[in-house]
Amino acid sequence: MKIPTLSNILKVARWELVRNIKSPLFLVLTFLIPLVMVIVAGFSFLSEHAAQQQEINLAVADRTEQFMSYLENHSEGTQVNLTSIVAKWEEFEQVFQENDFDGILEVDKEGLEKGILLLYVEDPRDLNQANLRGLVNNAASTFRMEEMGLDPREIETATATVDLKTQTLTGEEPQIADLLVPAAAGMALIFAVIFSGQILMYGVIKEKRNRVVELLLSSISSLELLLGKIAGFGGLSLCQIGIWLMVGLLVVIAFVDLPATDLSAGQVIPPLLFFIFGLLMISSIFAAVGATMKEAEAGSQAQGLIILVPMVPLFMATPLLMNPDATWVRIFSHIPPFIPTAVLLRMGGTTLPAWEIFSTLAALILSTALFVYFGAKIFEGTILQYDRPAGWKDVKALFAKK
Amino acid sequence: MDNVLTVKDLSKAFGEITAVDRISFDVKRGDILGMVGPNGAGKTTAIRMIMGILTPDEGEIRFHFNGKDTAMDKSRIGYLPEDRGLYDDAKVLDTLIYLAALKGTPRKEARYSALKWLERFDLIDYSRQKLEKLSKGMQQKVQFIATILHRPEVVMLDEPFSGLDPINQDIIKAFIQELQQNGTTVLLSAHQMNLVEELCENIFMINQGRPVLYGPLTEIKKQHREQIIVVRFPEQEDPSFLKKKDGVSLIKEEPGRIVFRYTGAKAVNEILNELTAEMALEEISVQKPPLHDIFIQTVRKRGGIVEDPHFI
Repeated sequence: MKIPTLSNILKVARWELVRNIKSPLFLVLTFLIPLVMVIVAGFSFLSEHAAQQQEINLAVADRTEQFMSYLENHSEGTQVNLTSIVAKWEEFEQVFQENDFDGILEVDKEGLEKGILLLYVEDPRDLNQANLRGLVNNAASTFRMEEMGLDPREIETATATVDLKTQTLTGEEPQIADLLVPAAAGMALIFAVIFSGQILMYGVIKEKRNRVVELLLSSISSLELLLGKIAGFGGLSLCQIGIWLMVGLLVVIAFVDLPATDLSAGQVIPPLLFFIFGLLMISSIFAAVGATMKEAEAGSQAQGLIILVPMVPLFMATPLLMNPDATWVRIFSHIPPFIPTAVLLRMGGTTLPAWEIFSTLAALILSTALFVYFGAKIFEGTILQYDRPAGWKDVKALFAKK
Repeated sequence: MDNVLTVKDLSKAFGEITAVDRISFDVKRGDILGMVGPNGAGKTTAIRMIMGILTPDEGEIRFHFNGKDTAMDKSRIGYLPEDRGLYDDAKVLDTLIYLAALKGTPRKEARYSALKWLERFDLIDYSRQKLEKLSKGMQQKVQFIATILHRPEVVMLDEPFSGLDPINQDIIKAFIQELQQNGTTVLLSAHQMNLVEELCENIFMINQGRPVLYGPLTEIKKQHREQIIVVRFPEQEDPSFLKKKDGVSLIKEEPGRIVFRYTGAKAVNEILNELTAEMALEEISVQKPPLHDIFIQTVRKRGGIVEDPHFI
């Protein structure tokens, strides 16, 4: 196989990038997904905020004649409005009818001792009980402690919360970027494979179907064409992911309270390399498989199988993260099609030793080169087979030929 | 004239089927070499190997550019494939610039040339249109422009006339002649032998992957002793005596006209003298048989068959 020329690869990459960046499919995928992200994030933020702000009108039937004051003390600053009532259980229905209560809390000594208080509601779905539960628990704890003879200062000391501050033996604090960057690279790889990979494969099938590929191969080699396509669609993926990341970041900044963090080259470069070579490897599989197809319809099944390749480590995420340093996990992380996602997953879960980052990266680069080489061989050997799809027999014959 | 392309003992098999079997020929600089044969003869496979799209199993392909022997320089060669197609969702001008750029032409120069050619082929108004908006004939013209936009020294045209109406066939024919006048070498593969006869001085005939005849068209016809004689005569005349003559085989007979093939030992002049002595004549013409007949007869003489039923 002839050594590819960079200028030819770039010409193909530029053509594919410029042509596909304007395609309706790309535009829909690129801008619809961030829009969905914004809508979902906004909706969940607003609904959570609304739930926290929900005003609760609670009637309290306090049989102890003491607990109400504890409830009132703890309800300051909350959205819970308390009203003391004197009514028997049989009269509760009438209370609901005559008043605008969200619920009636019945408090008695036995209930407080057993830790079970009864809350009567007309429809449980109308009431956000999370806020109420905190209030009743705090009041009950204070009530019990006073019953035990503790004074308010002792109670305050006893109920003060404790925060866990994590740091390593060298004194460094864990950084959110150590988790986020590999996770983002892993997600980006999977999205790139799902969206740009399929555009690449269908592009190859289309070029084969409309015969333009023969014209291209009369100007450049099949390896140059393949690498140009992979580079072009890789660029397309990066544009897409860049847009998604930007939108995602804006959403996070707007709605989520994340600690500020600085990114170092050590945190960014290894995940980026695994992303780039992983995309190269899987794209070459897409292109080679596309070259063997006759019609786009046949490609959808193959596409599903190829997409599964980077996702296998995700299905095994729990055992991989529970035992990130186990021998079988280390071996699994060196198996070519699974390297990028397996390593990115582990990078997010633990600190990988430098030797393992290098060995998995070396294995990934080597296997990417092999995948591209064999992909180009299959591409070259089957792309002009217009009359029927190429099968295993054809591929076998390609490699058997000297 | 020196050779710009030398093909020697070229072979290619696909599984059990030998598509091209030890073919050899030269293409002279500035010449139009006609590669003729029926569909499935191996022409496209041979051209794909010459273009470096397929790898030969055996044989040698050498180009000679600037007085140097070179294996391949795709930027100096234009190619019009038999299976034609372009990006239907891309604009005409963008496609032409891209294809010329792949051949090494700077984008600015490619744009200028493309607009010039589009104007010449009456397609300038379509330069910003997507190819899918163009008729099939227009798309073929665009593809033809893509073949020569980078000013190649050698052009390979694989079945350039297929799918074209007679008017567009004439346009392309005139264009091929113009290419030759400008010094471009053309390897023309076609199964329409009449068009090849009009355009080519040298031909290479191929059937079932094997060479049939190769050389200057005039030489091939000269070596072929057969003559086609057409005689017109008054309807009361009886030409039946002709059928008894040695070397005469009847092709067509109708009142006042007879067409026969002559392969006898006597000179044609003698036959014509005998004809004028025996009957009154109105018109007589002697022709060498068309290339198509020479091809079929040569294949049959060698015990071969022509597999394409449309060709016979």
